[in-house]
Amino acid sequence: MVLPVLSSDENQSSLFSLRGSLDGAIEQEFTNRVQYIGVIIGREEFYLAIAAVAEIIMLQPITYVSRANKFIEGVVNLRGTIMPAINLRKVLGVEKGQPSAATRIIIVKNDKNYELGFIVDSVTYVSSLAPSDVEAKVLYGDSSAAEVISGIAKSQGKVIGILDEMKIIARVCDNDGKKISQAG
Amino acid sequence: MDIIRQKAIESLLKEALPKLVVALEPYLSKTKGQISAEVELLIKEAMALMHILQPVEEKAAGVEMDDDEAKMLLAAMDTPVAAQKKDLSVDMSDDEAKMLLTAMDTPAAEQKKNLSVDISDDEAKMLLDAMDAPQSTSTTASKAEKMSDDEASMLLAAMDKPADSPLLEPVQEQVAASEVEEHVDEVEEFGESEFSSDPDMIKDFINNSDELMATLDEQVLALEQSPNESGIIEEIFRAAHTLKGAAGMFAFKGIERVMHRMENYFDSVRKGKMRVDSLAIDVILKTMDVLRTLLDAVKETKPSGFKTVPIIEELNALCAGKLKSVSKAPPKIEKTEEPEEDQKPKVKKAEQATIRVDLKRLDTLVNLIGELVIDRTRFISIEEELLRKGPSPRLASNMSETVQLFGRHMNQVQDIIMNVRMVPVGNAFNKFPRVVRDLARSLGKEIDLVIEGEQTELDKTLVEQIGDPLVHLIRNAVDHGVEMPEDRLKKGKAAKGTILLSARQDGNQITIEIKDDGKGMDPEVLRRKGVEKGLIREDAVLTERDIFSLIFESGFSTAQKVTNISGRGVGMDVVRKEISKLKGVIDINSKLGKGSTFTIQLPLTLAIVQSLLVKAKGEIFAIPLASVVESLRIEPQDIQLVGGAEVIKRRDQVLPLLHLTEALALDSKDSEFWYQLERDQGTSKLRKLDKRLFVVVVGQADRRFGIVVDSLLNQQEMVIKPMGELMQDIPCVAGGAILGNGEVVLVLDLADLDSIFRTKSRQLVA
Repeated sequence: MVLPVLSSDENQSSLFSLRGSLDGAIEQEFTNRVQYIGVIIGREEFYLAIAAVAEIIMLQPITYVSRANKFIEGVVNLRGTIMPAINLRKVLGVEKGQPSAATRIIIVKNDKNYELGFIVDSVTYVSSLAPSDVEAKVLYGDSSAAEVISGIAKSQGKVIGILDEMKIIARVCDNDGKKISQAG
Repeated sequence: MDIIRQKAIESLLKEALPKLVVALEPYLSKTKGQISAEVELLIKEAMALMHILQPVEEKAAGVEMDDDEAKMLLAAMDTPVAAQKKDLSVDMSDDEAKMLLTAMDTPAAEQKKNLSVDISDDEAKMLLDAMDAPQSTSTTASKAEKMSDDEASMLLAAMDKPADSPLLEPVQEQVAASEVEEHVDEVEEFGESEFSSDPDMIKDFINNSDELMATLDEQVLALEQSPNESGIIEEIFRAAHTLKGAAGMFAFKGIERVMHRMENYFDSVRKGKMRVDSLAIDVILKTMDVLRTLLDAVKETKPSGFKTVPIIEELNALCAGKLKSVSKAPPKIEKTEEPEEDQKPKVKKAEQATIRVDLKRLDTLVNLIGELVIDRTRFISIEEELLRKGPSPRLASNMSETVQLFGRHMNQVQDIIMNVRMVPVGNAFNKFPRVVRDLARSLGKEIDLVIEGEQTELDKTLVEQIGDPLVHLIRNAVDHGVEMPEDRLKKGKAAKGTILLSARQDGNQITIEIKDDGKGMDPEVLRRKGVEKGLIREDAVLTERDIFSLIFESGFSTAQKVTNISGRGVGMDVVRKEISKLKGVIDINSKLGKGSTFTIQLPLTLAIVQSLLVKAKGEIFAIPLASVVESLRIEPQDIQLVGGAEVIKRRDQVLPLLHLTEALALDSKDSEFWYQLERDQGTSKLRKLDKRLFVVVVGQADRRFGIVVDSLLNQQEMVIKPMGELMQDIPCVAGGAILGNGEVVLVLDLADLDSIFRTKSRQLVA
């Protein structure tokens, strides 16, 4: 897996063109844009809406909890709050991975209902997409990934799956036979 | 309010009220015996007003009158004025009535005006003049000359109007007022009031009313025991009166009306016109229930829609002495207080300098201190690291000194904050006399409830949550424990049964005991039931205690109830679950024919828990130290197998063993746990002694078992935290806690482990 190298000139320019210029006609379009953060899981890149992300932390020592939900790797301590960390590789049905220096925990937070971490192999960069860049879900079949992908981003010739954090949580809960309140 | 206005009101009232009293006197003697109770009450009201006025007068020198006092005064005044208007019209000479009404209405009307904030000085002067008005018209006239014509006429109009209107229909009112049992209609529960929109005022009202209701509850039950005790009656009357006044002020009409009737009744009682019998107490208690419903509605800020007419009619009937009394000995409620409380309870009350603190703030404080405790353990681990590999030994020793001092101070802070959260367990016991009384009455039993050690202190959360299980146990004791009086006599017991509810502190724990002298439980019957239900094997060797604890099994209880053998254990599984949720244990002891004892043991507090850290399969777990009996190191050959179950013999006792790795299925860790980081082992590098095993002996009530772990680490204070919504209901895990190095450890749920253990052994038996 080769990570995008931000310092290369080509990537730099594509990054800027992705963001679009802020002046004139594009301004209108810009307000409708949604920002996503790119994450690498296994060999694939995915997008996660940045609105759901509270912060991104280095991999912390995770405490294993036996007999917990199988997608839950364990619990971590985020400044005094104990929260579950969900193994996205397991959710997406990707083979077993190893922790590395690039491994991150993305803290997903909703002030009412949940606060939890998604373990990803690495984080790339933030992209902002216009609604026209996003296509509603076109994945067929019942792969694990299909269940938690809400749409597909196509821009710059790349096609990237957009992960829906609520669907991930719902899947984790389904697996548990429990329901989490999804209001808000 | 400025002094002039205040003076005005004062003098107005001072003039008006004595007159009112004097004017009512002849009327009272004329109609004696008919409706004098009502009128007499009104006179009382007037006198009370005079009393209220006195402090106001003293205060007059000061600049401001307290808002609350003003409101209180106003509220207090409105009641008699309104009520009196109605009654006055009975047969009085027109002159008298007019004078009276003028005298009364003027101050009330004027005062209302006064309370509004922006009154010009002119108006105040006008008031001063107005106060002379009822005395003699001539003075008014002369003074009025000084005023502008407009003002004078306005004043006169204001004075005349209220006086005239009631006199227009004296005949009708005469009829209405002379009947005690007037027809009552439903009123709006909440009326309009300028105070009811102020949430702070409402909060005050709720707080006060809660206190008053508690007083009323207590006193009414006390009254039942000694119906002629005038002190109690006075107390009830005062509380009822205050509550009525407050409710009136907020225009909570429902409460006010009910309270008014109750007050009337107790007024008659204290004057010796009525006697308190048990029937009356029933009505009063019913009234209290109605009031509670109404007060709850206030708390929820929406009307309950509760109909108050039935209870009012009942109260009216009670006042009229029309309820037929049935004599039945009520159960006696005794409260034996601890000796030092007994001696001078009143004096002690006065000494208490307390402050009301919002519980939320206190909880935040407790949580913060919990965080500080974690910080301290963190400091300790930094200190250790500095000592081990720090750059300078001096820095390290400075650090340890500071850490030690910090630790000492933290201990003190912790002690204090834990004490702050402590409340007497008696708060949870308060409702029981009533529960016992009602239930015993409905069952036709005679029962004494003796409460002991209600001053024992316990964490507030625990006191709040222990209530429900206790109610259950007490109801059981009344319902199934104590026999009917005739049965008791047959067995040579006193007809009256006794239930003892006691609390005491045992070290770090609280023991609550519910003991009855009823029929007790029959182990044989329970055993048969257990076999029938498939819970135990027919030839199982069980101690009596094991058999008794069968009643905690779900499904066991209902059958008991149906067959009505002993019936104990309706929902006992719930009781045990709730108690273990509070980290407590429950134990039963029973002697057939002699009675049963339920013993509940609870930790003093839940916030900070001393724990023993153990390691199994490389994971650290915390075991609450309160449950740890001892820890042993054993050789593998010490373990013996009994029917497939591992046990060891320890001081002639057989101790069943549970391997933590097995119980928590830790073996699957290798395949399930992908993101394990290398850990800094720190100083806790205990060399694993090749073959030896560590056993932590834990006690759940009388049941002890050993948990086999890989190693013992250390003992630490920790704060148990929830682990998020997704992590609830993890078997055997009570929550998480954070170590000094920031790592999360799981706190073991011993009750859960124990139940796994029992299921396992039952499977082995079957």
